[in-house]
Amino acid sequence: MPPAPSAAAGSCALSLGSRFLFGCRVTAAHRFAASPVQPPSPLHQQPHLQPCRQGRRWLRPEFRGVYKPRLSPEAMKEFWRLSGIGPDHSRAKVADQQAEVPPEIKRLYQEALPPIVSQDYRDPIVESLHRAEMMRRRRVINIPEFHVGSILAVSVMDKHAPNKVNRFVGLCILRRHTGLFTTFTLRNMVDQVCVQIEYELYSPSIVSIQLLKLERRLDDNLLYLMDAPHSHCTIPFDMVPEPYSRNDPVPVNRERVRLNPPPWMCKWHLHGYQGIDLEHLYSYLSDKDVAKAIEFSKAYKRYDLLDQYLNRVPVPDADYAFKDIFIQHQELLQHQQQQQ
Amino acid sequence: MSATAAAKSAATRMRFNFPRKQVRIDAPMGFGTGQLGRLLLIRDSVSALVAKERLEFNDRPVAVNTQQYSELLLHKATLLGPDNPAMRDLAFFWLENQQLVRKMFDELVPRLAGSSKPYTRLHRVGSAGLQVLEIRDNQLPPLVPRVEPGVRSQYLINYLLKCAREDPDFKPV
Repeated sequence: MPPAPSAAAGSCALSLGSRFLFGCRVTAAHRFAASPVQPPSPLHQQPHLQPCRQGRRWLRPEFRGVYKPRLSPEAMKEFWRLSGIGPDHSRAKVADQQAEVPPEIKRLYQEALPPIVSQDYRDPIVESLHRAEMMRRRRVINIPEFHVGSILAVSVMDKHAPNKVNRFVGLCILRRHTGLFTTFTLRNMVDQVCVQIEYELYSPSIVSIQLLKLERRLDDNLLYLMDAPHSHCTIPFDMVPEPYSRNDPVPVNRERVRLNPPPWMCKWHLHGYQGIDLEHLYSYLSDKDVAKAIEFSKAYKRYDLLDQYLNRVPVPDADYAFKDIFIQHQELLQHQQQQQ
Repeated sequence: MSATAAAKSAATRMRFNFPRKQVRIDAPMGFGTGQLGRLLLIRDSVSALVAKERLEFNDRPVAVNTQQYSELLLHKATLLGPDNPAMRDLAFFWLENQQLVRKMFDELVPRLAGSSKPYTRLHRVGSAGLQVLEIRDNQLPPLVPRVEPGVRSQYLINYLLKCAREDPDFKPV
């Protein structure tokens, strides 16, 4: 049982109260409480850590002794030159881009859109660096265009696998985040067990991403398949890729899924899903729930002007991002031609 | 930035400064609950504003929301025009009848398209907290007294400042 904080701790300038920090129980800094001298300088302000079995010693950064050497500007430029790509393009270059960005760029690089957050949390330099890194990765691996509802085969490095590569085939049910940390989730049935795996699109441990079927659905995510019959997400591992043309519009699968009877993992009727058979869904619900579902069906959201304005990426920012990507996309094509 | 890009940016730029958060309306009256009820309440005010061009409110959140939604609607109408089917759908939702939709596209949009000022103006009138929302350049008696050009230079303080500026011996402290 740890000792209670001392009575003088409350008056001490270093009093921290009692809280958990990295598995350690932190008590007031009572070693200074009884001394007659003034409270010490902030440099010595370390929390007194009681040893705990799962604890880790936490040192202030200046005492950790981890010093990373700074790169000189010349070394940095040499690094960018060797890697073949860098934030060489300036704002002027993007601004001078007169030609219209073709629509295939917006389809292929959906994750280049800046995130929809408050302006306080957005950094254009970070976004620009993310885009440069994304294009650098795309020189090594081919990342195809896909949407939620498409079928993909992903091979990742796995040191415990026989061939050191682990291949998984599944239906894409979710695409999250933007920039370098974009993730997508694949779902499939393996030995009568539902498996969902979330991959980071630009992870260096991904060996290949193969598109087997290009398709779109009526919703942004297909999480309701968790409460649907397993036939909807059973994809054979030896599926043959279906050919597609980049110029054609993405085919939309307007299938409406019939869910299993409740209990469900989530209140699927309250999210405005279009891909669920709503008549069949409402037959499971009480009148009160149906009324609520209709209110939440979000048909009115297309008329909510302020919601659209506040919760969409500003048009100039989106234009800038896609122009930036378009310039680097053309450089990528040149690089691929040179490789051949 | 090229001239056409700059012109396009100026034409599409929002004229009004929106706060990051929606202004809450407590207890919307008689239009239902939730976000949908709120939208229907604001829709009622927006149609009334387009019809009468000046409205009085006691409730500031409702006035502010009406202003924000009117600005967005008029801005979209200016950019997209009456021939766009999505715009027409939007206009018929917010204004509810053909007369008002026609008024917006034929009267209000051409009147307000040229300038870069906001489409509406919200005044606080009197000590009781009356909010008056009006569309700019309307024919109603003006709420803000309009001073003719050239009159302000005859005010005493401005005349004194002008003399001070022109006086070579005068040096500001």
